[in-house]
Amino acid sequence: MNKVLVFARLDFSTIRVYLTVRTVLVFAAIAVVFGVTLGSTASQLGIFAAFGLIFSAYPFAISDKINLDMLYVTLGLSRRTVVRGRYVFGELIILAGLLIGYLAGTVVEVIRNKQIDPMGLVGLLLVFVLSSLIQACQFPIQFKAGYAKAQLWTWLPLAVVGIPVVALPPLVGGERLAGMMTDVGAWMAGNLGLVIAALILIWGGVVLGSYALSVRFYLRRDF
Amino acid sequence: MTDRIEQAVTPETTNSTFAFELRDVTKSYDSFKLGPISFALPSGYVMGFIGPNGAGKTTTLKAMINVIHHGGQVMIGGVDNQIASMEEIGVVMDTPIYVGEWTINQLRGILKPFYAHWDDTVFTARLRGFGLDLDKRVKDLSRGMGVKLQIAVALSHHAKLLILDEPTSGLDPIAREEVGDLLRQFVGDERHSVLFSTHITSDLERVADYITFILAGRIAFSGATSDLLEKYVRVAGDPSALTSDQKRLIVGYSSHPAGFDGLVEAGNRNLLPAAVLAEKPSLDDIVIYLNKGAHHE
Amino acid sequence: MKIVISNRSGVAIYEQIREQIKTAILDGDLRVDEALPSIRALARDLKVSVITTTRAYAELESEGFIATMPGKGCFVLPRNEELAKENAFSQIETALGEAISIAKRNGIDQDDLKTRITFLWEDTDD
Repeated sequence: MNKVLVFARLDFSTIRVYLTVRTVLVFAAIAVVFGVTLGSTASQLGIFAAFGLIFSAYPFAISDKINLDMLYVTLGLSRRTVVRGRYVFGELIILAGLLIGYLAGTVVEVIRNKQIDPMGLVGLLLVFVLSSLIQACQFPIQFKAGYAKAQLWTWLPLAVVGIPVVALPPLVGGERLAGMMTDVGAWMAGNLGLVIAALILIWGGVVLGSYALSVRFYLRRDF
Repeated sequence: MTDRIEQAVTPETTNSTFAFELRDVTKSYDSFKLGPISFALPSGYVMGFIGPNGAGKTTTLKAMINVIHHGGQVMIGGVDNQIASMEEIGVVMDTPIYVGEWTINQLRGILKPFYAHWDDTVFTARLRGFGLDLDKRVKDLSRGMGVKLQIAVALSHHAKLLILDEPTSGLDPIAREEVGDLLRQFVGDERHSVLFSTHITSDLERVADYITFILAGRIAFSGATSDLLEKYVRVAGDPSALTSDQKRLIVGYSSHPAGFDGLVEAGNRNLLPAAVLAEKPSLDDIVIYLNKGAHHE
Repeated sequence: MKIVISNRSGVAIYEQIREQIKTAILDGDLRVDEALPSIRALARDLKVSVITTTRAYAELESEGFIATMPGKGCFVLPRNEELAKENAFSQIETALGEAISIAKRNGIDQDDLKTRITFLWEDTDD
């Protein structure tokens, strides 16, 4: 386990160059703008989740260019450790993005409504699970073919989920959607235990399956 | 491929006197086939791995450190490369496989946790000796400095076998001599060994104890440098004085209006006319003529 | 002990090392029981490959000039006059053999050659 965590830290060191304060602030600004115009914490969370997803692909992209995969071999890491470490890194960076987004969203909420949105945490969990599932679709392809070749397929899951999320409100109508969301939200709040259990099962199953695929693909590669 | 096992087996647990052995190693690509190749290096010596570009040097090195899948077997210090400890092997590529934005100091913090025996004092001392500044970014290092940095890293995790891929290409003669010096120093300790690939033969004569010469994916020669130099004799003279039988003895035979030149095995010199010039070949001569000879087959 | 390697002399490096150590021993610059630098240390200092110094020392040992004590290093052996003479003669034979071939090839007879040898002997410094 130790090597896995050390590797996740290596991934952070690898992308840290790109995580400048300026980049974070730009994303924060975009999120706040979306939040204010679309009027929901969810959109802020969504932006930051996307932020996390984009960054979790960076180690793959960098490795394409300078063959970090070979570095991993010279460091004596097994391929399984690399895959595990990358998944840990991926989940952590989505989580980090979401927490920042949650804070940003809370600030916006407090400014606008002078109160804190109670559904925020459930939203956080939902967006995390959703993002993590998207990532679980992206990782095996990236492990198989590297960033460049996987690019089309990396954007696909993002689009499949992202487009409806953005398109739905205008299509269905903001009010009706809000109404639907409140109904769903209420049902969920009522059956919280069931919802959480279901989420964990689905999430766990998909991530584990994705991990198994990634290991299979990564084991076969030459660097 | 089975995955590497991380509880590594170190050479101390075996009694092998070989730094490494390759046994019938093969690798196939669409346009190129390597092997089967076999060669070995006894512990405590330097082996130069030479061959023209595209002959398979980098592929061989990658197979040895298990970066690519390969057929056959590679033993490092008596241990199969699928389970050997990478701690004992220092890998030096022609460009460092580190993120360009990392400073050398950051690099130290990044690499250290992966090694059981990282020695910071060695690292600092070596950097000072090489004139490498801790605050310098990897991308700002010249080629020579990049090679030295990787050597400093390898020495800091107490590598016993140094594997270098073209460490001197693109370097001026002074830097080349410095690298050669480093490698000689390294094998001052007889538990250390070096394998380095190059296409610059002048690097070899005073550094390499052993030479493996690879041509088009096959081993043309592997053995002591002095044996290779004594195996052949360079001949030149008047082609009209040669019978066709004699011509066939000459490796890399080429004739031109001023005469012919080529290489013969030392034992065959006396089968050629006495008037033919025969002299000790340089390593360059041997590489060039053997290469020519291979292309006519 | 000073050893000077020439890159251009056409003589193999291990031979140069061997001969210079031999001369040093024969001239008394290297005394009996004196320790020679280790094979690896010498290779490092002269900037040559280890196998070069290994071969030089191996040949010196087989000619009876030095001996290796495992774990202790290489030492100069007491000069064996017989062995030294024998060694010298074998070198002389090679050199003379070549001189004789050249003479025969060019129609120079034995007496002419002997006269020339006498002449050169007086002429060469010790």
